[in-house]
Amino acid sequence: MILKLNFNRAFVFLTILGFAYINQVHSQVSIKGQVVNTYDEPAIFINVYIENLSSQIIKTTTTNENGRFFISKIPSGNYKINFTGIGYKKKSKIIFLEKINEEFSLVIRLEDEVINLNEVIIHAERPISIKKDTINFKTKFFINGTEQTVEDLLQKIPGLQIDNNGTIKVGNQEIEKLMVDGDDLFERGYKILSKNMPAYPIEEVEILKNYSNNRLLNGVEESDKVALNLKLNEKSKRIWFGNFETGLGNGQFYQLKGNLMNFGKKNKYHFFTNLNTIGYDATGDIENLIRPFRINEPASIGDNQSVNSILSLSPNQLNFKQSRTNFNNVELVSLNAIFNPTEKLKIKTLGFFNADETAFFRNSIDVVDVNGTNFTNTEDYKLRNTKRITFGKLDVIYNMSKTKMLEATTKYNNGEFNDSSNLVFNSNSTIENLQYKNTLFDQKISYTNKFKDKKVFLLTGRFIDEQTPQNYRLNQFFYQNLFPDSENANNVKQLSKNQMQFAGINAHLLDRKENGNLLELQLGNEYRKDQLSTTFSLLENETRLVQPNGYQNGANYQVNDVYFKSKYRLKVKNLGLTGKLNFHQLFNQLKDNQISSNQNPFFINPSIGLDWKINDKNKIMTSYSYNTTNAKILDAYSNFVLTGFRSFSKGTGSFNQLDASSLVFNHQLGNWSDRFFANTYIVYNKNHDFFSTNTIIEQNFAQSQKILIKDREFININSKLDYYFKFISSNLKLDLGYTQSEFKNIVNSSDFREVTSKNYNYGLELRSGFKGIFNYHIGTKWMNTEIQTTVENSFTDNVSFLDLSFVINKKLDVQLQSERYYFGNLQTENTYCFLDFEAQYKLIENKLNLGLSGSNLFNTQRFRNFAVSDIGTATTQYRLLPRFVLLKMEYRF
Amino acid sequence: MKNKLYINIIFLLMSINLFSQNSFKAVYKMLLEKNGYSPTYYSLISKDRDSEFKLIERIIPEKVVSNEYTGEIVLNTETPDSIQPVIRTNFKQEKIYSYDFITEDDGKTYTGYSIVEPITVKWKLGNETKKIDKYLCKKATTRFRGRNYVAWYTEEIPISIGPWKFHGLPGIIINMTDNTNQVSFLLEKIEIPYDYLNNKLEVIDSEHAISVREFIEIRKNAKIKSREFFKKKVLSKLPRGANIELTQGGNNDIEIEF
Repeated sequence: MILKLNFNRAFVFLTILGFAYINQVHSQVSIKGQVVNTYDEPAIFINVYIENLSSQIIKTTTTNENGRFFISKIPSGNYKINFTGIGYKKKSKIIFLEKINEEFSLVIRLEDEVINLNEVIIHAERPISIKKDTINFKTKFFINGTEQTVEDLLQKIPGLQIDNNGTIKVGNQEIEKLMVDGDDLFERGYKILSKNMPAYPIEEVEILKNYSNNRLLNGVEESDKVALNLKLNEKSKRIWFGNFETGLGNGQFYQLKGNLMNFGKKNKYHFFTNLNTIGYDATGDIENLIRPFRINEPASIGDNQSVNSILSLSPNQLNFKQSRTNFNNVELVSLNAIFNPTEKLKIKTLGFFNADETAFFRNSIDVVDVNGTNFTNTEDYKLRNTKRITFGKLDVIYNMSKTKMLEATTKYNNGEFNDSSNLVFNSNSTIENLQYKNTLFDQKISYTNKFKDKKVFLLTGRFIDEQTPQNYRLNQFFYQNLFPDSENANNVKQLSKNQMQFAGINAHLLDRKENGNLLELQLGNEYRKDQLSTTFSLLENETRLVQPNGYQNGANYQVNDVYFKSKYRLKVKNLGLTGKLNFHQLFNQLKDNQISSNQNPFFINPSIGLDWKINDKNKIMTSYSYNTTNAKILDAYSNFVLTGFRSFSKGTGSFNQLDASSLVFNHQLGNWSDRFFANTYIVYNKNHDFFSTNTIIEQNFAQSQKILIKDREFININSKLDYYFKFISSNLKLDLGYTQSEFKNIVNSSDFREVTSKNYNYGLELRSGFKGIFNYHIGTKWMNTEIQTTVENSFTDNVSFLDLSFVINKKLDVQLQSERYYFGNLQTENTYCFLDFEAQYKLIENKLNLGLSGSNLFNTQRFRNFAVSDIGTATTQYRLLPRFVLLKMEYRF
Repeated sequence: MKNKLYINIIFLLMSINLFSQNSFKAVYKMLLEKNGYSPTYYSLISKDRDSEFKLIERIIPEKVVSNEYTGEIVLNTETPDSIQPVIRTNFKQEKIYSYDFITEDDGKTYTGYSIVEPITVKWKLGNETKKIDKYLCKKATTRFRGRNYVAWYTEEIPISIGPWKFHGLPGIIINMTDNTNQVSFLLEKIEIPYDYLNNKLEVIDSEHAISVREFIEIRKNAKIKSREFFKKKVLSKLPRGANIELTQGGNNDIEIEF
């Protein structure tokens, strides 16, 4: 109080005693002086600065503890000398510094100035602004004009990292998508955009943290995703850009890839094409767009609803690089567009057409030895497949307000397939022909309302109609033993209609509590109707002889599921607890060959999960769930259908629910980037009920029927260890795994046969992290399989690899990959080696790249592998794409 | 005698007054590429002829939430997750004392060092003016330890003490950014006078202080070692076919050249 009064009422006198010395030789002057207050005490830390008469500051200094200052080397002229300091009023004086020695002193009386400041400064335009989860960069502050592509531009944005392959990362995390004005055409395939789009129209770059695909779920759902958004300059006109890549090889091998884009503020187009014969899966490039990968995302009902074909001639998934056996000739074109007619409305369209002709070659020897039945079947199988797929997708997003959004997605797919196989079965020439279609119509509408800051309500409706009619012909009659009366039959055919309709509605509430915990409630109704009708005919040439009883189906299966799902996540310090409780009331109806039956089961599926970060080094995640699932159409139909040239199968003809318990445990020791890291994963599954088969096997056919059996177990233990050795700059990886599963079945009227299969595998890898041009990665893995029924059968396979990498300089790099497969149970030809290489030369950075790649350099023609099952063994030999070398060129325009 | 005592008391009061008017607290927001632009807040406190520049809080951007209706931004602050240097400037001695850290052993441990250096920043004063908030600011530029900065200061608040080691302008620095945008200081708040009586300035061991050159040499060696170790280790842990490029975006420290 006293202090304040004293100060406010007092006058402070500031006395300045100035001395000026003029240096005549250099026409420069020095000023020396002292600043004091009214008490003649030195005024310390006073700013002293000299301005010329156009207010440009020439020299500046502060007074020392004696109040003295000294400013030298001032050109002669007229100046204003200023004295400022907190608590003093600013004092200015015009001085004339001339080439004469002059000494002057000033006494200035000032009123005191009490500064009482307590304020916040508002900065208007900043290069970087941070708001909520968005970091915004104004590009003009970062560029220097040499940037050609978006990638060049992003490289200049601090905090973003772009690696050699074009992967964009924020910190250590890869971005989810790269949008332009909030429009996303590429999902994870964003490199097409970043590597081709010119940089000049981009005004701002935004990093979106905790990104949610549904903007209203931002901050409510759990998300650690990050995305980038590029904002276009208002003035920029439509821009065209793209690239093309050609690869020409020996023989018929080639690849052609092209991207053409046209971007404007309102509309954006992307045209993509890929033609190749090198086994490359062209739709893989747009797979993300057809079915965006959305795991655990709200409003995703019906995602797993589809028709399963009953008959397929396509090869099984191989434990092997698929492109090595895929003789193809694919042509794909896609057009992808986004329209923003008004600020609130966004329309996205995607269409593609894919034509492919593939061939596949396989020889197999199946040895069956079960319950006294012994035989060996040989197959020489050549498959030709042609397909045409037309796909269209339309997304309409209507942003009704800041908190409400309506989204509709329509999909249409039309596929026509023609498979024909030329098969030599036990020296019988056999021709199979399968024609089928797939027609899909899918409509989804979802409404999102963020009715409170942390509460979101979603309402989703979906309708799907899918049909897969098949027409199968076989020019042989192998089933004399099944149909002893049809002696004249010499070929068979099966027509099938397989149709599914799904209609679902789901109301979903997400409620993020004050304490950060998330409560989710869902109420919904899902209805699915399946119609499976098959007609199987025995023919003599083109004349139909009979449609045998027990081989025709007309099943109509309807399931209506009314459910209530709840989920709560609780987080206390380092402990997270997730509880789920799902209630289902089902209404099942099965009309099978004119007989109708109903069942209305009710069940509860509970699950509980725990994640616990014990300390920096130890993390544990564990969960338990009890799950009841309802039987599907392919479990429920009652008569046999032909599922292959020598196999028939049928369902149970009744309603079933299957119960299962499952326990998962995961322990993490250390972090991935630590020198030592270990991760152990244990899964235990108990099926209280499960579908198995009762099979009759003969040389020419197998007939199996689904049966319901109680209790089977499955356990899987997997452990991975990483250790980095400093002295060789290499990391050692150990991989240990054990799987044991069991089931029971019936073969050729046996009792229940218990089948136990045990697999264990162990492997190690060593990978270098050298600084120089050379790096290696070597590894090997042994896999032991053991099948136990009445007899025991076991073998050990080995796969090894050696990869070498040479990054010679920024322009040139070479990668070599080699693999070796060893099959323990093959007597001869049990080792296969492969060598591939790829070299890339950047001729003109970001403009023209040249490349050379070689596949299957050892020109291995065939690949054999060996499998063991509960009924015998199978040796299968695949024909491989021969050696080819491609000369590649990539050009950006 | 009585008279003298009286004068002494007045003098004492005056001194306190002068000091309190001399004291201030400024809060600077520092945005560094190094920290992924998560804002770090530093206080610049000065009393007498001594100043301290020190981290007060760091906002983890993931924790920044805002209310769309009110526009209010709630900052959930956490204690800083990385160690930050403290800078003390003694204008009487014209020396800067700082306490900085060097991480070692793959970031697991760190050692602190006391460093002493003279005040060396040299300003080039420009003619340009710009209004920031209500203040008329003047432009000043400098090259300091490898970075070119533009500072906007205002004579309306005659404080010549600046953030980091940037002292000597005839007014407070409101905005200062280097030309790569990797480093910027923004004045967020100013409080004059500031009740420093309850706030003690950080004490730095000036006796064992080493020179900047000595410190840089130690840091350089530790960094090279640590970076290389990290790169090798991560690269060698990748699965087959996967590759990484650790883009070392140059040196993004505040001071890069000595």
